[in-house]
Amino acid sequence: MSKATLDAPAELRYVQYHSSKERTYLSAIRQLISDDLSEPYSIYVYRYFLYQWGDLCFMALDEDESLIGVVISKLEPHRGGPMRGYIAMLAVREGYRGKGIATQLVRKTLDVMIERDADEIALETEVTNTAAMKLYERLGFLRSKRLHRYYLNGNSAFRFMLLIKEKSAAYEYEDEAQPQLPIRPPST
Amino acid sequence: MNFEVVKAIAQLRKPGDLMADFSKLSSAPDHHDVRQQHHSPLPPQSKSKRIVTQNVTSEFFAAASALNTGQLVKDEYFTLFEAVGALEIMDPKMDSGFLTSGESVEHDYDVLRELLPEEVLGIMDQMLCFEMTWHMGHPLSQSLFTSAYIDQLLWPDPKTLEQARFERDKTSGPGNKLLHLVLRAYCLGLVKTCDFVRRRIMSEHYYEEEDFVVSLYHRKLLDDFELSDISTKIEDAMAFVTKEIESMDRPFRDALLNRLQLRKTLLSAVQSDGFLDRQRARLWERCLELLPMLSQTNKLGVPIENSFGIKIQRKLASSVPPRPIVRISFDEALSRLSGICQNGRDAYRILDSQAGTRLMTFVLTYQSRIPQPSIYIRCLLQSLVFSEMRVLGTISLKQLLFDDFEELVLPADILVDPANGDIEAPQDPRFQISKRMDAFVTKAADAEGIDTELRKYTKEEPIRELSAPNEEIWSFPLSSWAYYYKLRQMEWIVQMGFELDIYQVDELAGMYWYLDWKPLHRPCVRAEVAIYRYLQHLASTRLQHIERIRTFSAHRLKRIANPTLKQKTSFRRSFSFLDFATLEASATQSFAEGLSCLFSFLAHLGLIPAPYHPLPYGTPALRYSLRVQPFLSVSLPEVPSYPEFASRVSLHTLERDAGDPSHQTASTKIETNDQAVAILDFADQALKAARKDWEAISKTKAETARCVGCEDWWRASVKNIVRACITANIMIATSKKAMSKAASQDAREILKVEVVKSNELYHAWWMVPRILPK
Repeated sequence: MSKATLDAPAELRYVQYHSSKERTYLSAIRQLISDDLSEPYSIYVYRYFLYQWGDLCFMALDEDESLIGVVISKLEPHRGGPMRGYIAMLAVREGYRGKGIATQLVRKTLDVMIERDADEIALETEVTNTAAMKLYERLGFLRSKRLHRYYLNGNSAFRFMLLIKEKSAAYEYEDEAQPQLPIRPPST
Repeated sequence: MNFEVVKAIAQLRKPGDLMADFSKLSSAPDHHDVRQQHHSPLPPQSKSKRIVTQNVTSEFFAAASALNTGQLVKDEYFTLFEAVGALEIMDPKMDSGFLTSGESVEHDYDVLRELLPEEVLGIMDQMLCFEMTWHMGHPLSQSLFTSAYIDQLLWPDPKTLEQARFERDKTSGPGNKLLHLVLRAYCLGLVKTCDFVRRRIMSEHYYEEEDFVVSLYHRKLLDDFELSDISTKIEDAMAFVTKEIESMDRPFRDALLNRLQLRKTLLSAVQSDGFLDRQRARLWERCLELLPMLSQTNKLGVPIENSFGIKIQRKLASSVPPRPIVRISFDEALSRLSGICQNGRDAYRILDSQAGTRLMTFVLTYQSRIPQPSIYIRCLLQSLVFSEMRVLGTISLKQLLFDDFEELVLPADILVDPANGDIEAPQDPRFQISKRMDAFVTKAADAEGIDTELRKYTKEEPIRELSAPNEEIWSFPLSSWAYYYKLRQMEWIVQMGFELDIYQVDELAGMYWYLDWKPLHRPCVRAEVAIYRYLQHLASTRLQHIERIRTFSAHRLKRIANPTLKQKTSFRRSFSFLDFATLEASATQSFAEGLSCLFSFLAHLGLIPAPYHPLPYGTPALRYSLRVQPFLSVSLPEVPSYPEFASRVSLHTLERDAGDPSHQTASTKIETNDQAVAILDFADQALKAARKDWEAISKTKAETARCVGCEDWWRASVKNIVRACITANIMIATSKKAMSKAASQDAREILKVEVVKSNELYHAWWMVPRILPK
């Protein structure tokens, strides 16, 4: 798709998570994600996603099997309405960024969500995170809302949406009153 | 790790017990940190007889060993929200009670030590900074409540004002008058100011947590004590400082007096009683007058950093992990305070606006100024607009609405005659009219039904057109009024999307189209691109609607044989409003059309991506559907379907992926692109018309533009739109010139486009791209 993708290091492997991999990778996943965060998630948050939607989590591993990037997502009916996929965390190790690794990870998780009959996919990014916004926009996401001071650090977010199927009239406005999920942004 | 507490809580009988017990835990010094008792063989014994504690550590580990690694235990109501809120005990970033080895629980600072004048000044200015960070939306726990002095004054909760002092054990301890008289008075004034500010904000609409954190962590902000008593304390302090000629140099005395005076004035400016009094503007002005000296004397102060501490957060009742203290510079605090004082003063100008249309202009203009007025000020304005069932303190809601009906759709009409309300005979049509108008005002429902019923009481004569004499056209005044405002709001929603940077480049041509949609004419418009088209559509619909309203008012005026002066005045006022609204809608439509064509031209030449071009996921139709989703439940004006939209913005002539710069096709060659040139000509015409309209608006009298009370800000905003228009005209000229010079080249070799962010534009609603020759 993008030029960056073509430059991705050939030796990376993209591996779907499974609970059998917890002992090998969970602490590396936590480390990689919390490096970017001003305030950490408890272990419970990781287990919340990985236990329920491990198949939506993908890891980019180098030839030494060390973790270069990870995406963590969920998929469930949104307020009794559409089946909504949600990309919760995405991180690529510094020094490996700008090579299309994040795009590959997002595409892997999107493909599984679509295969599992997602109606729509949502996520948030910090309004200043232009690299992430470009990534999602190139894939077909649209900004649907600006969430005022969404993050704990006081920064605002954009909600990005991707419709996979035409919305049925019944739940057109379901997400209007959605409480904010305090998924935290990178600290920088 | 011990788990006594878990078990103890589990044995409580009612939810109320839990609260009661927690408060004991946080207040009793020996229970400050239950984790300190890790190695105690005996569980702590609660004083409450109903609670029996027991060590369950081994039971817990036995139970936990039955789970696999990574296995999750939760019920179906445990959502992501709760998961994210979970804390990890013994992680210093999450556990507020975590102590490193040798660290003490208490914040180590002696609030009773004697203070020098420069130290008092330093502390006061630090407190001002924290007061402003609270105004900016940070919690008290990360700002003022980190002060050891404030903590000492407010905890334990003082029952009398006398108890609110630094030596809480009643015996007069160490410390000097600068501490006990001056700093205390300043702190009391500060806390009471916060009390008024918080109450004002809580009485209005605001985004809790995002804009402002109301949480007090079980503390009170001296809300039981009178303003006058606190003012007296400040006066006493001022009297003391004035007399201290021996012990204090003049600059210190003046600097302290300046701060105490500011506290006293600010306190009076924010107090709740009598806030509708215009004289409040004078108090804000006096605060402003004190700021230059505050700024000049800041350097005399010596900040006492360790009088503020993050550990004080542990004493606050809160479930969140410890959060860093938020600091801003004194200069920033001063500029925030200055903004609050100026805006506080200016807010009172709203009392001059009176009528509904003027009030609307004032609120929109005032609230959209940059930098945005602070949350307190925005709430103050809301209170001035409407409190205790009165608008601007004097007008009832019904009066306001009737006045607006009269101005927009019902000049000198019997429907808005206030005398109707006095009629008590049900057979009198005016009684019936009054009943129905009240129903509309209070419920705002079923305008069309009420309009239809009212006809028989007003004896309305429908309009019949010569071409169809049997067809009756009715005025539907209330529905017309409601529809006008609906269209207005839809335009604002689309325009705010620009302000919030919601739209992507390829959508811009289309969103402006929605503001001015001219169906089925101009074949070239078919080649248009996505958001400015949308805007154009809405503005155009509003123009047609204003014309309809005008037709009916003119029709009714003609039928009045000898209009009285009062009637004439009412009609004149209404027509003046309709004329101005026409000009404004037409200006919006032209500008939207011009930008829509300009973006369309750019997309046509591959300088920006084609609207809703194909991407790896989703489809153009689905992305369009997502974008117009907020309007789908609105039946009128109808949202164009995707095929209709697509045929107008002609996505089909541009099937290539314009996002890929390496992709070259014939259509990017200017010589083969007469259509692009034709679109540019349309953009040129529309933008010239827009400039003419906006310049006319900028010259309109304040009375006509309904901007009385906010004329200066309103004119500044219109001037920025005129500037945006001129810039757009220049961009057109640049494009034309470049294209005529290099007719056979690829447009992408001679022109480049930069899309400007909303905060760098002349006006955030008008996104004029930067087009530069290469």
